[in-house]
Amino acid sequence: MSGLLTGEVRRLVARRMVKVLVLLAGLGIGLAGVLTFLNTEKSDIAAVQARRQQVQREFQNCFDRLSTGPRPGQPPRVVEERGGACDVDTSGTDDKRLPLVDLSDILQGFTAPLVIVAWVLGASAIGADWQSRTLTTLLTWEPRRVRVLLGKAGAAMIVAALFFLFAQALLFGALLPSALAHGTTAGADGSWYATLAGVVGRGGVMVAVAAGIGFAIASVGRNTAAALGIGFAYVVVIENVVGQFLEDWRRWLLLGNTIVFVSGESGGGNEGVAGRSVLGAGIFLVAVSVGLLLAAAAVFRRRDVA
Amino acid sequence: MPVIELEGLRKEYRRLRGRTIVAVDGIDLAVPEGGVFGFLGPNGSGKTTTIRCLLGLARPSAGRCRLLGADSATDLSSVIARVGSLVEMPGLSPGMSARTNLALLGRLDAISGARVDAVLDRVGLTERAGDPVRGYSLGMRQRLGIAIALLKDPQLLVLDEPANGLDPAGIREVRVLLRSLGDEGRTVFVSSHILSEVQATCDRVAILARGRCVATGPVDDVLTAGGPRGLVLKVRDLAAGVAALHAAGMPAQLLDGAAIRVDVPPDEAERVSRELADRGLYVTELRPQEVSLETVFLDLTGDGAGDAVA
Repeated sequence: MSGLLTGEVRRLVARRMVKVLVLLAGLGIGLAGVLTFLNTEKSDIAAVQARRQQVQREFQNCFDRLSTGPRPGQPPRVVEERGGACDVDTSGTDDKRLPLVDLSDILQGFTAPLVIVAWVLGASAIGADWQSRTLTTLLTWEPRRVRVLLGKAGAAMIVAALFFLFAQALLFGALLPSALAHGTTAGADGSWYATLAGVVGRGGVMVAVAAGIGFAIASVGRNTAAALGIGFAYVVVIENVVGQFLEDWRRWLLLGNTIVFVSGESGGGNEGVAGRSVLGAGIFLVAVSVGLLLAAAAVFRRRDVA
Repeated sequence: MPVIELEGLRKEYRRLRGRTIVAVDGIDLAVPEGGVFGFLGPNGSGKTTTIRCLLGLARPSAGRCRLLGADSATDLSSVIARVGSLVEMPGLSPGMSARTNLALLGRLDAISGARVDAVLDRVGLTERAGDPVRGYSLGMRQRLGIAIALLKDPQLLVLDEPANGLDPAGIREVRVLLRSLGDEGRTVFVSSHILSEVQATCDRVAILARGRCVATGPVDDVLTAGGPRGLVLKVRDLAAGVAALHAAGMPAQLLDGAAIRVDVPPDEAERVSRELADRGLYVTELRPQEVSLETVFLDLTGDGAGDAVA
């Protein structure tokens, strides 16, 4: 099995799509790092806070002046209307630092697009094989079909997780200079590092789950587009319609559980699933992925291969 | 023991609206060990479907396939290491080189890098072995497919149209390769539509038509069964010769304006010669009409008039 898994990982990594993804991720994240560095600066937080208080006082004085003379019969003008008339210099009030502890939230937010990429990667891993007939060649070397399919799925999940780790590490590395040179490391203690590890760990599991689901659907549909189409239809129809009108069913849908699991917060807030624990959401998502892969393997076992 | 056995192999495909297409309709076949076995048939006769069933890529609707004694549907993994195969155009990872493609497959059977280089050399791909496969021509891909089939150093080779896409020189190389593999004691089971290649390469042959096996046996026996149809002769005045033979009650006709074909059994050669000599026409050449595999093939498959002459 290790020969099959290693071979499939190498085949997948050699795919043009993966190379393009790595290149785009590198360029995009690198650019984000540079822009962040240029738009952050090491501020004196005490001076910023003093300046903010000063500006607030100046605004208040301005408002008070404007509100002293309402015309008879007219209501007092609201603050927003009056604000425009107050020309107060607000410079020096922005905290342009990038605290290191903010990186955990940024990495968590970056997980969402990587989950979508993982879905596509998983679907493409088997969809391209159906099209190029590499699956046929492989089956003439290893005819145990369940083994072949699960080996390929495992490879897709591993590559998706590795890509996730690469992208997250790259983003962390790209933002670190801004955090160190223009920010603060305050609050970056052991507990924060544990939080960060949780974000990355759960994200890694989530992208593997997404790759597995995409792979399973594309395997049954025999092409990548099937998985993308079904994924799109699922989000638009099932998540929106069922999720909106049948609130109780949300706990059995993917999106809410994904939000709970990736956020690491039980319930996951308004968009999550009330009462769902992080562990429960993770188990549900893994079970869906494994279940779909086993179903795909059962179909593949009986299917004719061209 | 036969290396390939088919017993009542049948394969149906269900189409929309409940229509069923029978691709293979009860084939019985036994391929003995050693030598080159040709698997012939016109397009759509069921050759590739049969090969797919043999290699476990398609599930038979009925009947059984055995490779090296193992049932293809249930026990193929026990013998697959001794079976090399090529089914139509090989599916390969286009971004990888030929060497890497082979090396990755070889890992499944712990095949060494030296063996990979040896088979690449044998199919003439050494110089381009490091180039990505996506840049390969059709013929190069086909050579690579043959290399994949040879990589396991197999006892049995199952090759589906291995000469597809090759230029004449490549076809000749494949013919020599197949013959040498057969002479090494391996069994080569090869489907082809190039009848002259099969005739030149194979020891035995099976002919398929409309999903059924219509003839099988040593190539010479299959040709003999088709039998010579008559005699081919030459005289100085061909038109007078045809007229003389007609007058003697023997059906005859001009053959490409260069010879006369007489539709009588070859053992009547003496009578033909005498009848012509009696009319002052002396035979300069007289031979039985040779029957090619193509003639037999077209006769058996019902796709031709059966009048080709080798």
